[in-house]
Amino acid sequence: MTPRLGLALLPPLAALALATPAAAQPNGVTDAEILFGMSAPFSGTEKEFGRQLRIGWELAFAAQNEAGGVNGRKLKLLPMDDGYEPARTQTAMKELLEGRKVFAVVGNFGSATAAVSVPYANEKGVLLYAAYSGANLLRNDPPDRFVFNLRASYAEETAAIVGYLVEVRRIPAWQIAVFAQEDAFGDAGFAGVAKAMRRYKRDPGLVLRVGYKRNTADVDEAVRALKHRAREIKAVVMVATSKAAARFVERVRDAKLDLVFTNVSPGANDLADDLAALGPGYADGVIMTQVVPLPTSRATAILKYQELLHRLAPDERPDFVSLEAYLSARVLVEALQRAGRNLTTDSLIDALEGIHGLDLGIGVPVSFGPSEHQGSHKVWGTVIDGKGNFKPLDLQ
Amino acid sequence: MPLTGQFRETPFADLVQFYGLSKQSVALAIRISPRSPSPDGIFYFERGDLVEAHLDGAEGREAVRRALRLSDGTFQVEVGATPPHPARREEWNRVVFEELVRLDEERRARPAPPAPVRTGAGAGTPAGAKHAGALALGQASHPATSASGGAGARPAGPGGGSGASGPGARPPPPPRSRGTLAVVVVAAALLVGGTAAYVLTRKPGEVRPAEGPTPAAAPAAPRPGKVRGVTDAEVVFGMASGFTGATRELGRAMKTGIETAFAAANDAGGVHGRKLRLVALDDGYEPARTGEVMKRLVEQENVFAVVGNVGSATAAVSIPYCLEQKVVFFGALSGAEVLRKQPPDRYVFNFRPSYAEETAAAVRYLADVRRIEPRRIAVFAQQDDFGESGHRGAVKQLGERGVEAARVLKLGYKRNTADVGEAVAALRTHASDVDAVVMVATYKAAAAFIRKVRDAGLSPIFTNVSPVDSNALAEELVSAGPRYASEVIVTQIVPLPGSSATSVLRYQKALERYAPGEKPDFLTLEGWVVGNLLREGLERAGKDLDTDRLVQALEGIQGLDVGLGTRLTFGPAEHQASHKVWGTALQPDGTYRSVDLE
Repeated sequence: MTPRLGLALLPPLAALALATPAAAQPNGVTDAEILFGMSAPFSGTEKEFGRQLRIGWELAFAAQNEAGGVNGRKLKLLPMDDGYEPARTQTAMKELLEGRKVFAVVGNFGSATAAVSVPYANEKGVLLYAAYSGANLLRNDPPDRFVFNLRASYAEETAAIVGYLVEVRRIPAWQIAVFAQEDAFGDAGFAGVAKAMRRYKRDPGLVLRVGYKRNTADVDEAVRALKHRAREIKAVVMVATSKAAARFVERVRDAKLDLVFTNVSPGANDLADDLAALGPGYADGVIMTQVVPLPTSRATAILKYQELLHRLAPDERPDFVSLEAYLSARVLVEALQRAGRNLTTDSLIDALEGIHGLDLGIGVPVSFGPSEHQGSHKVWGTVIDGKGNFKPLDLQ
Repeated sequence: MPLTGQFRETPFADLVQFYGLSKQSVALAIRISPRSPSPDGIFYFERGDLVEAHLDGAEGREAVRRALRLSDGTFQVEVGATPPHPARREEWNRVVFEELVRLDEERRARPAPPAPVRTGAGAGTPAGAKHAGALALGQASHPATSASGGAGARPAGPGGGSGASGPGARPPPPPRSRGTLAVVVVAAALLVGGTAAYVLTRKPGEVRPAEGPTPAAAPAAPRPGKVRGVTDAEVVFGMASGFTGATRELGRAMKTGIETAFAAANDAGGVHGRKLRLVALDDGYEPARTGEVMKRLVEQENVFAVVGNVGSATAAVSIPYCLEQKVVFFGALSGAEVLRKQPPDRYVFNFRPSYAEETAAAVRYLADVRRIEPRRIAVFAQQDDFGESGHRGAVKQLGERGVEAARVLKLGYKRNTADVGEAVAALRTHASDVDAVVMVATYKAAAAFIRKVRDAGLSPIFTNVSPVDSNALAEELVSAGPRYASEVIVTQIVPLPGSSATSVLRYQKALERYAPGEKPDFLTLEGWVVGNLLREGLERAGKDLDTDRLVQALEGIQGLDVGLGTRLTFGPAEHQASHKVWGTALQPDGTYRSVDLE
């Protein structure tokens, strides 16, 4: 009798060894260059973000390339315009990863756009580094292997500002309203408000939330809703891009409502300029949380940034957005150096996760780890004066 | 690591024959249909002899009879899982033989065509069945051979590939599913790494004659070490869990996760040159059986330590025994207090947070995030150590919110049952006072409770603790209808198994390689983490492994970040590595999404 069960002892180690890919340079990496992609708005209402982000990244790359690059390779940025529209982000990301075959994607702009790029980067196993967004979808717990952030989250920004309003300004939690973009960006900020509200025994479900649509400055409905509650509301936590925030502050102040306004970090300089342009009564006293220090400060890393800006982009003035991009790039360069000549996505991720307590000279050390893919949790307070200048503000 | 196959290609009769010939000790988990969510039956072979049989509610002869007639089902072989009961071998082999003969006769009596739909074409040939029957009879007629004089009959196992020394020793092929080459490659890898060593080294004194070593095995047999369960070639771990009964999926998944971690470690050369091996025995999730099973693991299987046991009431039996025997009791799937004494028992180490931490997180979520009034939160808990632990955590948290313990509505059910009628009736009488129920239950009882409460027209929020078996609960509820799947929260002690976190990606990759066909699941992920944490301890303990060195090494693990979202820390006063609880919500499609508990 022949057993019907076929003997199947294949040489397992050899078979498994075949599965190990031969060492080859990854996408976007040659002996001479490392190519990074970026998907950001270079057209539409938010194009200034794309421009500033690009300045910051190019600044850091140019400085590093002057010093010989990283392990002999020059750093190159390939920006793509997605107009801050998720549908176009899809196209841009695909073109970057599959068409241009970049090594990693850095400095993307937006939260709703990140909802597209995060799953795509995870699926492709490509690093998505320092997107300009504090949304939670870039901050899963535990963190996605391929997603790294430098900046504090929107929830950390708004929680810090609610704490400031309640504890420092002595405004009761029930007198605080929220003006938030109606998408992932606004939701992320509102989540931080809700969390802080619970700390002050305020039901987040009762918090007045008004809003506007992405890529618009249609705030009439929001202003009307706020006016209805004018007697109780003393402060508005804004989670808005600069154009909508400026219009909202303008309309509310025109309606003679005396409110404390706060906004989250994105587009700080824009908002200050827009408000100042309206006249001194608008900008004065508007509070903004920041995730990097004042770009005009005298901290070591900031001085270096100012010097590079002056030398390489003399027409540009220091700006929160380009500073954030520049600092993000500095941390990435550090990780690239640590990853060594044999650069792969995995070796870069290992190097990033190995960064503990890196002191760039910004007042807070940067730390990553396998369970921590957000380098900084620091939130700075700033207040705008009548001329649109930022002054530091102690949040505690 | 499991070998898998289909009865269409490898009939049950062939499996009986194969394991009879190779004299292996295995558990054969059977699914009647490939769509069965969990195994419908389990057959134990001990040193080649069938010793225990369960299939779809049937036992013994009836189970064998049905198994011989399966054509659509699938099987999964788990080497090393031996049954807890001493077997009456002669009787069993007679049963198998008689049933084979009967099957044979049935087929002969049947007119052509000879391949009816219920059996595969090859499987149906009378010759095959007859021959298998004869072999089984041969086993039955020499029951003493393998136990006393059978040196020559001791097989080297499929991976050993030693020369044949007799008909009984010829290593026949392992079962193979044609067209699943990848499975076979992986299985073969594991056989070479694990089973060969297993067969060669397992219980030398018990099986081999006292004098006259086995010619084939002697050169490869490693020297037995001074430490129980530790040789130059391997470290043997034991596991006592329910592999039958209501919670068998917990045991199976936990075991799969641990073995996946062990297989990955073994492929990387083992730990200090030693391969890690797991011997799993079934205690049916019944404390009455646990004592005997633990004794057998330690005193007969000679395991070095015990890992991944499932159950709290069973742990109440295991732990005193482990403390007395100075055996490390590691990474059990239980969050009960009996495993978490203050200060901790020297030999008891946990990975997972306590049930009290899970239910406290659930109460905080209900009260703070969902704005449920604390006095409107009830508890539904299994009536044993498991349920009590979770109940206490919820009551304590409610107490901090001003609800007296005596005023918390407590509902319950008995272990290994889904008798929830009384609990549902009690809830109905308090229907207007309850907005949420914190459940501390296993999936069958939990699903029955949720269904009946919803059917009664009530709509509380339900929270469950991690050992509910999230996926089984999802299947039960989603198949009952989408309305049963809403407002069902499960607290978890590992991240979503489908997430893209570094640790989870590693797990997914290992699972795909070492347990192909196994879908990522919270339970196998927990087993994987437990297996890896143990491996970390073994690495740190060094080459001269003994129990005290392992304890010391484990207590030295501080702030270990494996990308799990939390750091793992042990210490002399801390024998629980993680305190992190995640929230998940069941979706209508049967998947879970993460929910912020804070």
